[in-house]
Amino acid sequence: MKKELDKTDKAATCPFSRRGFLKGMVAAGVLASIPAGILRANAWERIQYEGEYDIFRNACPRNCYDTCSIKSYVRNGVLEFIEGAQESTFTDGALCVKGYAYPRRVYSPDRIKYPMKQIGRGTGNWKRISWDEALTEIAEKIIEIKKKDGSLLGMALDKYSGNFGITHYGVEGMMSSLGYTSRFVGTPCWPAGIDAQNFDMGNMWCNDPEDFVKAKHIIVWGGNPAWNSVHTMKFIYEAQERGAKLVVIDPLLTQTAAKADLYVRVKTSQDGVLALGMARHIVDEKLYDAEFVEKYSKGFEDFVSYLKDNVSVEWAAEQSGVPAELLRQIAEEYAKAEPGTIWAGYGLQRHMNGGANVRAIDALAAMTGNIGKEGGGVRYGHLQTWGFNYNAMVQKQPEGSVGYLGKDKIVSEFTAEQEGGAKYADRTININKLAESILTTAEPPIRLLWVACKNPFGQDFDRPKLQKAFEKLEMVVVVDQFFNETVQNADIVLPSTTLFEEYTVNVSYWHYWLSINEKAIPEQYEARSDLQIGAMLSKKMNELESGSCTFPQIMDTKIWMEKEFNEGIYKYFGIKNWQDLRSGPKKAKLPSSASWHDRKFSTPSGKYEFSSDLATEYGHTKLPEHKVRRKAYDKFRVLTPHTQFGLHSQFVNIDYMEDFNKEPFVYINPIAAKAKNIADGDMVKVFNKIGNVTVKAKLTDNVAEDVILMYEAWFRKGDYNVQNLVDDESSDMGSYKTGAPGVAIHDQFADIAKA
Amino acid sequence: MKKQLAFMVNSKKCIGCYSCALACKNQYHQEPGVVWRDLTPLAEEHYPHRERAFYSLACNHCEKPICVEVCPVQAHVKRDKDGIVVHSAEKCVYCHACIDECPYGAAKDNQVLKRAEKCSMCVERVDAGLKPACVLGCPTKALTIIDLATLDNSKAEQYPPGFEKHEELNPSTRFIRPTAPQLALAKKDS
Amino acid sequence: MDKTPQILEAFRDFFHYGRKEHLRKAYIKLSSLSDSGSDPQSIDWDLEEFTFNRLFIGPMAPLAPAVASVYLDPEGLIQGDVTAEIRTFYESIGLRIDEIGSEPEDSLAYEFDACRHLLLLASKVPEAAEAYAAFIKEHIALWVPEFSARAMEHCQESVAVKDVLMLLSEWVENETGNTTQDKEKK
Repeated sequence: MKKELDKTDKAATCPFSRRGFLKGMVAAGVLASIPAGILRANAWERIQYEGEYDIFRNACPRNCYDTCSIKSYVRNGVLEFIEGAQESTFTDGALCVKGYAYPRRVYSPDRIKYPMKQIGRGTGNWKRISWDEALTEIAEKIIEIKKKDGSLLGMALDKYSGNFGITHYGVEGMMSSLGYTSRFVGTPCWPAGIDAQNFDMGNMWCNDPEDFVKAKHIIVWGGNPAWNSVHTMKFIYEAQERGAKLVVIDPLLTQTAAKADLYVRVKTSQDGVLALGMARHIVDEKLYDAEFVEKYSKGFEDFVSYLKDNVSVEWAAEQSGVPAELLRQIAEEYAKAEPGTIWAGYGLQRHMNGGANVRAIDALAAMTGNIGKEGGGVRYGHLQTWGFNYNAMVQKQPEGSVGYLGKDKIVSEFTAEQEGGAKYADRTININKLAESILTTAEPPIRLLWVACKNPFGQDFDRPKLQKAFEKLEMVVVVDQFFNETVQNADIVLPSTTLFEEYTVNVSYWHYWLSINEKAIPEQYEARSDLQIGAMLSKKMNELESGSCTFPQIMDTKIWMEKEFNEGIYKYFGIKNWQDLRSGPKKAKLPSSASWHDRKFSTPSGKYEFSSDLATEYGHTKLPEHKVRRKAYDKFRVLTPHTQFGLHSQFVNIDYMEDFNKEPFVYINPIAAKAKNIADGDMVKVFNKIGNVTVKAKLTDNVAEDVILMYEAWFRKGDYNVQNLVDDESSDMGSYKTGAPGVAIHDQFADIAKA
Repeated sequence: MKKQLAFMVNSKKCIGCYSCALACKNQYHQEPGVVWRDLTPLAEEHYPHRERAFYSLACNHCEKPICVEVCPVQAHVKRDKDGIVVHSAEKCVYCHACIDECPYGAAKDNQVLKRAEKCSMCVERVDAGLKPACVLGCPTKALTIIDLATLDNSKAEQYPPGFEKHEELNPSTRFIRPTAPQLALAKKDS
Repeated sequence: MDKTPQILEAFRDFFHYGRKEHLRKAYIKLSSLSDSGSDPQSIDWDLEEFTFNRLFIGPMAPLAPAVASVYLDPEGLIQGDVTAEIRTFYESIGLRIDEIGSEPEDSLAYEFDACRHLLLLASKVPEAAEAYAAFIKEHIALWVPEFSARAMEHCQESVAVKDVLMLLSEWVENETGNTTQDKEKK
């Protein structure tokens, strides 16, 4: 409710300020005689800033293919608006619905402003504490744990991708600098597919997405770039304009499917079957690339034998739901295209047979010789541009630290293996089984949980179990910007900065651009970056116990940023130093837009491995074989992919966004709805063995008869949370490259009823 | 024909991503509830798949704008040099005429500031040689600015299905229709 | 008028620091200056602190932020036009906060500090009295009563916070009347 303004005075509410009171400086002497308040007296000479904007370069640090380069317009220390950087041919001047909400997000009155402590976890009774008080309490707890257990294994870090600014690996560094700790490793996101690509090719490495324009046949398989990689769409459109055919294979009729020449609704998780069926047909018609399979691959004959013995087109058609004739047609068109390309989305590997699905798709691309071709390939992701120093991450444990004596080393898809050299190591736990792990981990149990760049109550599985698990924790520290569900379950919350309030550097796992992220505005209220928090904690720890923390006490994020650059990065991007990035983002100097362009694979054999011995070491089949999908345990399949209006729990809560995305829905096929007497707009209860969600229904045949669709997101008003329906069943692959298997997020089932 | 700048809404390329809508908010910070550009999903009679085709609409910068006609204080003015219909919100006396009369709903009711407001094609950006925020903000270049005087696209329509016809206003916005995919649907998931 | 700078300080401290001890001290000061208020011994200061945070600070979205922009800016936009105007005003009277853009200058604590500054200046610089009167009548009076009313809707078991909010409304009302009278006298 706003004040009624006098009609004759519309523009501003401070007419008195224009009268120029006390024009000209008040004599210094007079001001000095006034006892100081909380406002500061100005230095008597002041530069009046007028008119022009200060322009800064930023980069969106979210977990998103597009990692946009941003141009920020600041006046008087205030961020007024942003644009996409036009220097990048990928960002090309545009951001997205989420990015444009940043100016509102930075200054949202809902932002957490100060460190706060909850008196009684979950009570909602909070006290404001100073940084000093917060860090003292945390430091004392750390020291207590060390005394009690003889190690710091009782302190655990739950972190993932809330902020991909390279310096934010400093949080892992902070943990190392305290001692050997427990780390939740793995990733809920893409682990199965990463392992698959590593078994097949020795690395995950995709073409430059800007080379889509060269493709003659495009399959977008289990991914939805129209929502999740909007900047790539223009390259796909260009390809279509040049005559390419776009085929979208997905259990849902997504926005991307609506742009396809052909949309194929496959039975969820039967993508591997479909790919194998296509492979069988390609073998039968001898449409494979003989030169490629002979010179650059290993095990093709074994694969062919497998197909002939186990896979028929009719069987694949029946299993996948794709008519046999169409299956043959797509296979032929793809095989004959020069080149054909496949975008393997992350959705298709969030299954118990997810990794197997990707291996089968990889095989299709390999047998047709599309790997290593510009405009071709199987596009999943890459980490080619991530060769930074990880200076913030690599810290030494303090002298005399005791840790875990097991063999586990920290494995992460983003960073090279952290070799300790020492006999001790951190204790690694599966990040995808947070609830289960907290409940069962012992000797020592997890006592102190540090959560950064993650919202487990929003995104992790089996939410009811997680609630129970948290009761076991002695202290929960959460670093965040908004009061989400995890903060609600914290003891201490520490306010974090947005991208505009710190320096860092950003790259993408999809495109090949490098962006600097400058500090455009001061830290809001008492917010601090993860790096600064580490530095402050280090100071406090060493005050209480000398030598207990080795984290550098550097508060200037610019220094952290500078330390990440090296000759390799400079050369790869053709720059002299990071300052070159202030005039705009720079693209890697690529010898070819194609990955694997020299066909020298990083497998043990140096070839593409249809037959992978390494895969068997991890309990998988040598060949890309059919793996049975998870059996339904309830009537409807529940799919919970990502909304376009947010990135997990970020952005949906911003009021600008609420103008366009007011409330959540469950999408049901009209046939199913009729059977349950559910009309469009009715409140519906979705329930299964884990829990339930009550939400409004929309009827559409974008979903199959026995599928229901809900988008995963955090709405600030209401208690909608799809994790009440998702269990923590593992996907098949992920342990090899990421330290833990993934989660079968889309292998969930439920029933529905009118609420 | 005189120069008439206009929005070209290519619904074939449009992915309904709402970047245009938020880019406008990012530029002008309209309060919650006041939306100058929005996406209208095409009804199922016009496009077979629910919430999969959209028209991005703001102001249509008509040839004979009703807002200009009914405004008692000339807060709405159609520029001679390029046809942009510019709204000067500070002149508004909140008589509600434009809000009530524009059949496209381009004039928005700002109940807090007690005035009408409308897209003015980012006229200050255009004058500085820049693209309107929504146009720059479109990641697929589905939303662009054209000059009707030089438009040469046989696919461009003035009144596509789902967009009301008002010949007396002669809206300048042009559209390209969306297309729908060929379908091959597995009946059941199980 | 003598007591006013002290009243302003007390209001300022209550809202600026928001911690138990500060709330209590400021409350005691306000009570004595206004000859009202409950016995501080009988008040549950933990509850008062929780209420204070729920209303004005967080970590959840504050129910009644003590920032002028929220009530006066058309979009409720912090660091928008209203904040900028107040910043300009502070500059004209020789004041600023430590880091421009990190906190909104139009929060209640800062605005009351500015009032206090003006009053203390007034004896030496006559225009300061005029500036003070204008600031009260044309700005403070436009938002503080609404803010106070909104906050009081959520006070429930609070005693101190509720008392202070009521005192705040009353004080603004009186001061607006006084300054208008003073102006008319001239």
